[in-house]
Amino acid sequence: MQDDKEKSLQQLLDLNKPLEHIPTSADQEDFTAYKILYSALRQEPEGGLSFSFKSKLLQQIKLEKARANDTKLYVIAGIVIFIGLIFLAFLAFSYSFVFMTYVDTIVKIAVFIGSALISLTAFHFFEEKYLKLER
Amino acid sequence: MINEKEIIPRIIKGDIRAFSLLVDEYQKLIFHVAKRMIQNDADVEDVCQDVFIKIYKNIGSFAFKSKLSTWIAQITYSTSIDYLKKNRKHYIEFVSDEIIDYKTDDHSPADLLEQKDLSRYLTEIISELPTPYRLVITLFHLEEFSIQEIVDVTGMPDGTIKNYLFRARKLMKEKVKLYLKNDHARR
Repeated sequence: MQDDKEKSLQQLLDLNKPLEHIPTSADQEDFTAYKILYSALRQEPEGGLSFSFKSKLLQQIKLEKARANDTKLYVIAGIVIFIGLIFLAFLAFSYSFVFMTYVDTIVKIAVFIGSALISLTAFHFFEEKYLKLER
Repeated sequence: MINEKEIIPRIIKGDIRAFSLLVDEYQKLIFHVAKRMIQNDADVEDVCQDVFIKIYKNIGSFAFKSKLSTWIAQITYSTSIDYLKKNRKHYIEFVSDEIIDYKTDDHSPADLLEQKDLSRYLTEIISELPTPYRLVITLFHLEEFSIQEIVDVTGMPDGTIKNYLFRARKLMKEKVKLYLKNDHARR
């Protein structure tokens, strides 16, 4: 019963009806308290974001964008290298007699490219981890 | 007021200026929701930054099925909850009457008399409400979201939201009444 009265008062204030709609059974004290409460609930909480928030955020967004571009570049480079290796493997099978004479040099180059790729990937991975921790 | 249909494709293309306009438009909404859920200013700023980064990364998935403000509030809500869970802060997803009675009835009349400023007192009683109550109250009264929009943001059933709204307002009204009585007695 009491809850029904409370509900009708709250609905009245939610609909923002003029004062003549107050139910006669309603307690004037309740109505006044609700009116004060409703106006307080529309007030913004104290404080706000710092002045440097937006500039820091946009800087962070630029970094994220650059990182996304780097990742794209790594993916493309990876695909190109993979295709290149398949092509080399195909050549090696087709002209194995020629490749046998240069096998030492080819292995050295392959090891160099492989290490460079692994180092780059590891650097990128740890950089991401570090930036996440920094945030 | 920004034109969402014009600005979103620009953000997707990587236009930082367009994103800056979106920040200006929605930083208050994000701050209000995060502040009412997390309360600690330093943590709120971190969460707001995470929210904006998520918006930037995922804006391409916004399908204009709801208002942009609803979608942004949804991200803020889930990021704040993740933050509270990750940092093991107190978070109650469903609120029972017993918790409310315990949480909000700890002001003695003497405490109330010491509260000279009603608006400061109201801010305090809002901050003492359980998190879901604070969230629902903020979205409904401060951000003027409809019940359906709050359903979309929180994923709670509309009956629960209406119940939280009703109970939170009733509890706070009792506090205001008590304050007014004490204030009257003081004079």
